[in-house]
Amino acid sequence: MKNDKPRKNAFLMFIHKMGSPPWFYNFTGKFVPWLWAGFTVLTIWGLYLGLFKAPPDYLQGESYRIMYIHVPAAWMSMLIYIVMAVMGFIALIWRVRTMEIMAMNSAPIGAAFTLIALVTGSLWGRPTWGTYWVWDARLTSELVLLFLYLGVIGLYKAMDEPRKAARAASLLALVGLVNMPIIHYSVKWWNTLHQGSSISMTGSKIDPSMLWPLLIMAIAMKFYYGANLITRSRITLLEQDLRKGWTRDVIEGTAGEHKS
Amino acid sequence: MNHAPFIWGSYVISAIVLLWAALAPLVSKRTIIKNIRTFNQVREQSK
Repeated sequence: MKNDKPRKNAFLMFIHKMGSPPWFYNFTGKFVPWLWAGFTVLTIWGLYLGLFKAPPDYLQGESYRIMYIHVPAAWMSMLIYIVMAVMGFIALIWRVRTMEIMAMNSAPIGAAFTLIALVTGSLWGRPTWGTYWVWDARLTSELVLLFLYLGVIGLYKAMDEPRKAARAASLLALVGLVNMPIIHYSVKWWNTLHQGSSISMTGSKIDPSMLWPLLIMAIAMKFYYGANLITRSRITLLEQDLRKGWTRDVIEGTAGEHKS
Repeated sequence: MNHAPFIWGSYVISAIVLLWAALAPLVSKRTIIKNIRTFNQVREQSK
């Protein structure tokens, strides 16, 4: 019990520091090149294994290779929405500005992944189902997710005061969470054309030679999200704090001399 | 049915979307940095 207090203080200190724009800008900036590098290396590795080394599927032939972008994008579309809603919740309760900024910058990235999931799913559907689109529960709920992202982006952009806009959009993001279990369980609750999950917490029905590239691509997309989110959030901070001294110090490269 | 156009089409579209999502904020960063520099120049001159 004696060790708990310093740990808790260190954690609170970190959260407190994260709320400081200059500290957030300088601290997160160190990770950006590493995250982009990780994304690039993992993507090249994952695509090489998935597109050139993995064998064709016995039923779908070569078309299953769309899985290596479609599935990670679909996973990211849901993960980013949940992360955005959690950050929006923190922003609403504790009014941490960096959290508001990160929540709002998650929306365009999540929308991009949702769009990729929908388009690649459509292109995968044509050779396997014989159609680009059906109004089944999984596809429709994923389309609703895209509209939710667009709603959050639109609401945030529609208001002049960014902090008020972020809180309103965070509330919408929280309401939209109801769509998450619908997307996930749609293939169980309804009789859909979309196949059920091949990967669960207990195991996978996919052969390891096909599974590993998928997992590598899934990790690569998380690196992409991290790098893109930090990049966008740092730019938004600069934009919002345009008239503050720390932005000048950062641009002129004298950030170390400025005490925040 | 030849699957290649569907596979490569998927990856090309995904690459375009991901590149756009990554590069779009960098374009606005240029403008923001320019605005910060202009603001600071005006402030220095008015001192």
